[in-house]
Amino acid sequence: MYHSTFLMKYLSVIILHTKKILVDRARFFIWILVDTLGVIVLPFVWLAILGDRDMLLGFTRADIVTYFILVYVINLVATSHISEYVHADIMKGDLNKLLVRPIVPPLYHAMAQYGYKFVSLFVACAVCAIAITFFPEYISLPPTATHAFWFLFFLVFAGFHSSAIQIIVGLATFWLGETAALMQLRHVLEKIFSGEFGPLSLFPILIQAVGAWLPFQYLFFVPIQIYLGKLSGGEILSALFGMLFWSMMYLFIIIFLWRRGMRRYEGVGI
Amino acid sequence: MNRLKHHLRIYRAIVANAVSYEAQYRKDTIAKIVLNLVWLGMLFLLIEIIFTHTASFSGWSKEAVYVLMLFWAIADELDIAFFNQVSFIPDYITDGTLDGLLIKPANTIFLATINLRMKAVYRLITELIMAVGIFFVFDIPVTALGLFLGVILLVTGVMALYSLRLMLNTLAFWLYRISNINALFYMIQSLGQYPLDIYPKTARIILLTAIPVGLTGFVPALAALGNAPGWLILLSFGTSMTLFILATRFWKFAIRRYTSASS
Repeated sequence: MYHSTFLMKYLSVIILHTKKILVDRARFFIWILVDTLGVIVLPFVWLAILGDRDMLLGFTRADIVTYFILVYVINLVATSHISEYVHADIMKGDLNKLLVRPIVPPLYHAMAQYGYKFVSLFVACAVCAIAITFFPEYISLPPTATHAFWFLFFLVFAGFHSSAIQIIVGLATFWLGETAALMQLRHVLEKIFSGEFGPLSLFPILIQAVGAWLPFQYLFFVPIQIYLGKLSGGEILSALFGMLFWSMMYLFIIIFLWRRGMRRYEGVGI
Repeated sequence: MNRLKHHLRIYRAIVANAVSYEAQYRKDTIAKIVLNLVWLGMLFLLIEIIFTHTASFSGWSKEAVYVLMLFWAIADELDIAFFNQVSFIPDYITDGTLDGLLIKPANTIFLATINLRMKAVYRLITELIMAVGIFFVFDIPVTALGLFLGVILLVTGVMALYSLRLMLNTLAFWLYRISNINALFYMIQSLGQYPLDIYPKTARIILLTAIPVGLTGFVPALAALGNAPGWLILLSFGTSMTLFILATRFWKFAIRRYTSASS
């Protein structure tokens, strides 16, 4: 009974924010355009790099275009932008309103964004359907159903990773106050090491080596590599352990920051 | 002439305010400059990544792409330094601040869109220093005329950016709660940080005319390197002027139909 109440609380948050999205339709449409434009240039960049060649370090033309369609899909359905909301709540003292409710405030923001993600899922499906129908020569499908399954599995965790990193940056507000520098740093690290700009395996060796030790690769690069069939069974298992390790780390860090932050929080803003 | 002097006096007050405001947050200013250098470093890293795989990026050499990226970054910074106020128009409309601007004895577009952000000016200075450094390090052959033309086209590109952003934000008179329109603007602007030759022909035409982000980096860089054809230069001037006229007319159209947000 407790578990169903717990789930219903956050499900109602998702439903509420889904309705909110549908009320502010212009705002939602603009966010979709923002996400679209964020990746639309990148296939052209890499196709220009590919030039007349058939392949670039194992990536065909279809692989490159499929890669960025999947980056777009992951951006729509998995990436999070909640650090600003967590930050604003702490800075303005608005966290008080959430503290008196039977919810965990960072979890509230994480769930609230799934209202947008839920509606965006339909946009993502429509884009994929259009791409497969009208540009089949540019689309690579997963080699086996197993690869498709693991891609979806890692996609779910990509969403968790993104939300967790955003919450950690937001919670830093308890100590730093203004976190614009930290947000910018996160943005730069994600841009380089997540695979959003391009497949990490096409980057210089040094960046690949550093990126292998960081969690950002699980956001875009690893799930898409699984989809394209570029990881063996052993490598997928290794990625799974890495992802689970970072997931546990995130949980510990968030719980630690939240408890310590609550001791400092005075409820009157910073 | 009196009207111009009147607005120049207002702008002098804006500049004085901006300088004194910034003086209170010196550490934050330094942090933002450092962050900007990190961001520029990321852009340059992406160029290096591109050129590890190819010697020519749609016909552009590495040095030329650096020049284009710098022009684009400087245009972006100029826009933020002088015209960032445009992004607050949706908020002015929803919270009623626009009413106060309308009753003031000065041009409303001027009051609503013109400002000065000293942080952006400091970042601009670092970018200009970096640009000079890049020109020397890569020994990029530029003529005085080419550079002069590049700077003029950069200014017209900034004017086109301002006009585009003003038109997008003017939509807030009809579509409420669209403050994220400025996030869309920055995404549109990012299309211009690479040579337009990587895009299909239709996209290139759009990015030089209707959504003229190509005027901020691509065209000025071509001019500075001495490779801009005459028709492209004329197109750049013509597009900027046309967009500016359209933007100001659209604003006036919106203002005529504006009813106050307050009761």
